[in-house]
Parts: sequence; structure tokens; C-alpha cells
Amino acid sequence: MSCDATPATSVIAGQVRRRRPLLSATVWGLLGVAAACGGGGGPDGYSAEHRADFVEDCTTSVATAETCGCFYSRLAAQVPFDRFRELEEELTDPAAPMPPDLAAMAAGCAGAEQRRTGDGGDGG
Amino acid sequence: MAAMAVSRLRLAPPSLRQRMRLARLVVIVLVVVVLVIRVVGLFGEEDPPVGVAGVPSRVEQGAPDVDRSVDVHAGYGAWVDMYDYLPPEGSAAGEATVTPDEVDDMARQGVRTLYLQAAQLDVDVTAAADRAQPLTDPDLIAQFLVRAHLAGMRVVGWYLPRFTDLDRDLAHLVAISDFEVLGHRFDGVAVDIEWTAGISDPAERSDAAVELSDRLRDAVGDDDVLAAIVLPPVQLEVVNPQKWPNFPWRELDDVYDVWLPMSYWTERTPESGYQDGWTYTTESVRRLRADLQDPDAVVHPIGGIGDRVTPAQADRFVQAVSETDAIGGSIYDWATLDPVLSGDIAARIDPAEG
Repeated sequence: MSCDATPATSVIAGQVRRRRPLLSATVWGLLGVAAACGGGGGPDGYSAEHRADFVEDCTTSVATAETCGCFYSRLAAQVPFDRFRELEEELTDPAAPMPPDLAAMAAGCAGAEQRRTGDGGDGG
Repeated sequence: MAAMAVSRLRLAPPSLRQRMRLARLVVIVLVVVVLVIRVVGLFGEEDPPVGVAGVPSRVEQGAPDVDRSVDVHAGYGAWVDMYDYLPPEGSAAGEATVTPDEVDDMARQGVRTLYLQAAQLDVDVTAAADRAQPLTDPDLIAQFLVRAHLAGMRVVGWYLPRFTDLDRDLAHLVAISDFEVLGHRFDGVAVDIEWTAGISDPAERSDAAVELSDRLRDAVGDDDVLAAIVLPPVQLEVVNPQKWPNFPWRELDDVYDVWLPMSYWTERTPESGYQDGWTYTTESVRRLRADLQDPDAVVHPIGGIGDRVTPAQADRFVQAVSETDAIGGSIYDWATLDPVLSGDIAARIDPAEG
């Protein structure tokens, strides 16, 4: 497989999400190829497209799209993209320990959302 | 003959009508199977997201079952007020003295429960504006809450009512009780009953404190444990009887399950004899239980103030916590207490309980 054949979104969390073991293995394989090729296959950094995929995969019944969007923004502001990719690989294993600062970052976004959606006070 | 007839019947090929019936049946079964698969697919559990995008989902999965029992107050606690994490703009403090990152330090030191001031009455804004922001900073509060839970700690949200507008006071307390972020909730709610400047008449103030407490109890229900942070009876009955005469202990006892007397011996003079961790704490607890007419009242004394506590005083405080059969104890506050001293207290005050 040539390096050019590596899917552009191979390290995006969402692309990994839907896969069962077989597909996960495929993704890991692709990651390995990407790494061997100097990482040229994945996104080079935070971007609107990357964000859209991230938010789509992050959103659940408890984590709204707003929370996930905020989470992505904070990641982009505070976590170098290389580190993001490392975290992405580490956290692909559901049993991997979750960095508490990352958890707090997500929680803060969910909390901040409550402030934004709170009763406006005057209520008309 | 009859047997042969039956055999012929069995062997006879199905008629066209029979085949059509069979075909219809097969189609119906297939349709039902497809529908069932679709419905199960729609309502079945979706794979949780993994990777970084899966963090919020994992935070939610890690939320502890909130059991607002008295055990939440067992062991060693750490106190954080809003000025620690939200210094007023333009204040000399400038930067926060306590951040969510420090929760891990608390856990390492042996803190079992974080007491976090989660709401504050803003007297400078209208009631509507105050109601619009019932919690100090939901973003930061969420970070403290989740990090503490991930570190295996419990978190009690506390609030200081002024008693001049009970609706507003109640709204802040209920907001603490109801706060939920990614499945995480406070493990307890505590009311800091000490403000005397709002209502000058002690009887009126007592009535307000009791009314607020009753309304809070009605709001949260009978099952939730509520804690009262109170002025120590030694202060109210011996040191300064004018501060809050006839404090409504008995009335409040109907509402609160745990009592946290602020036994800040560092505020007392050496001449009083109360500048001693053991004397001030044990007498406060003894008087408290007598005032409540409940010798078994659950208490968690708070010593302090942190930066003036000596190792010898801390040793006496720990002794008092043990001798009074207190469920736990702590020092006000985390930001001012020496970390080494804090660790020493934690090691001794935190029994192998739970």
C-alpha cells in the first residue's frame, strides 16, 4: 500500500468509533502505515473538517454537540496536535486510563453549557 | 385402506392455493423479521465513542452513584471557597489559589471529601440576574466535581445564605442539589448558617434560618442528607453570647443530619483557654449535642484557620475528633493549610472507615 492510499481521516476518533475489533485492527494497521510514512496520512492539525467529525462522534445522549464543540475548541487551544494524536491512539483502548485533565476539560464544557442555557432571569 | 389414503394425501403435491398461502406466510415472516431487526437496531445500544471524542462518554460512565448519606462526611475533608478559585477581578489575590488540578494533590494527601462553595448570593445584582446564575461558575465547578470523583473523592457543595431573600437563598441551594454534569452530581449539600449582618434581630434571623432550612428539606426530599455548617456553641454561648442569641438548634435539628461546627481555635485568645484544638473542639461538640438534645448527633468539626494552625494544635484537634466520636474532621481551608501538616492530619483523622 502506498502512503498516498492512507485515508485522510485515519486518526480521527470518529473513524475509529464504529469499528469492531476487525475494523479497529484495520485502523491500527493504517495508523502504523501512516506512522511509517511520517504521519503524512492523517490530518495535519485541527481543522473545521476534523472538528465536524470529532463532534459527530463525541455527541451522545449526555454530551451535546455544544459540549463536544467546546471540548474540541479547548483541545485545539490547549493540546498540541501531536499530543492529540498520541491521546487518540492511547484512548482507542477503552481500558486505557483517562487523563483527568482531559476529563475535566470535557466536564467544564458541559458545565459551561448549563450556564449558557440557564434561565435568562428576566424571562420576559 | 385408510392408511394408504393418508399416505397418498401426504405425498400429494401441494395445490397452487396451498403454495400461494405458503409463499404469503414466508413473506410475512420475512417482513416481521426485518422489522424486528430494524427496531432493535434503532433502539439497541450504540457503541460508545472511543478515542478523545469518547472522553465525555467515559466521564459519564465513571459517574458514581450518588448516595447522599452521612458517610459523605466521614474522614478528612478539604475546604475550598469561591475566592480560592474565583478571585475577584482586580483583587490583590489576582490568580486562583486553588485550581481543579489540585484535586489530585488532595486525594494523594488523603482527603476524602471536598467541600466546595458552589454558589454565592450576588447582592449587587437584581434577583432575576442572580437567579440567572445560581452557581458561581458551572464550568469550574464541573471540573472540580469530575476530577474529585475520578480521584475517588466525594464532593459536598455548600452555600452561605444571607437570609434577607429566602427565595434567592433557596434557589442557590436547590441549584447545588440539582447540578449534574455528564452524570456527576454533588454527593451532598451543606448550608453555612453563620451570616448575621443581613437581619439584625436574632429572633427574626432564627425564623428565617429555620424557614429556609424547612423549604430546602421540602425541596430535596426526606432521603437526601443535609449538613449544617454552624458557629460553634462555645462562641455563641461563652465567647460572644450576643452574636446569635437563642440559636434555633432544636428547630434545625428536624432538618439537618450532620453538623459541622466551625471550631476555629486560632480565632480565640490564649487567655480564653480556647486557643487549643482539643479544648475548643471537644467543648463545642459537647455543647452542640446538648443543644440538639441528641447525644449521638453526627458531627464533623472544622478546625482552623489553616495558616495559623500549629502542629501541636493540629495534634490536639485530631485527638478531639477521635474522643468526640466525630465522623470526620477538617481544617479551613485547603489553600492556607500547610501541605505537610495537612497530610499528617489526614493520616490520623481518616480512619480505615468505609
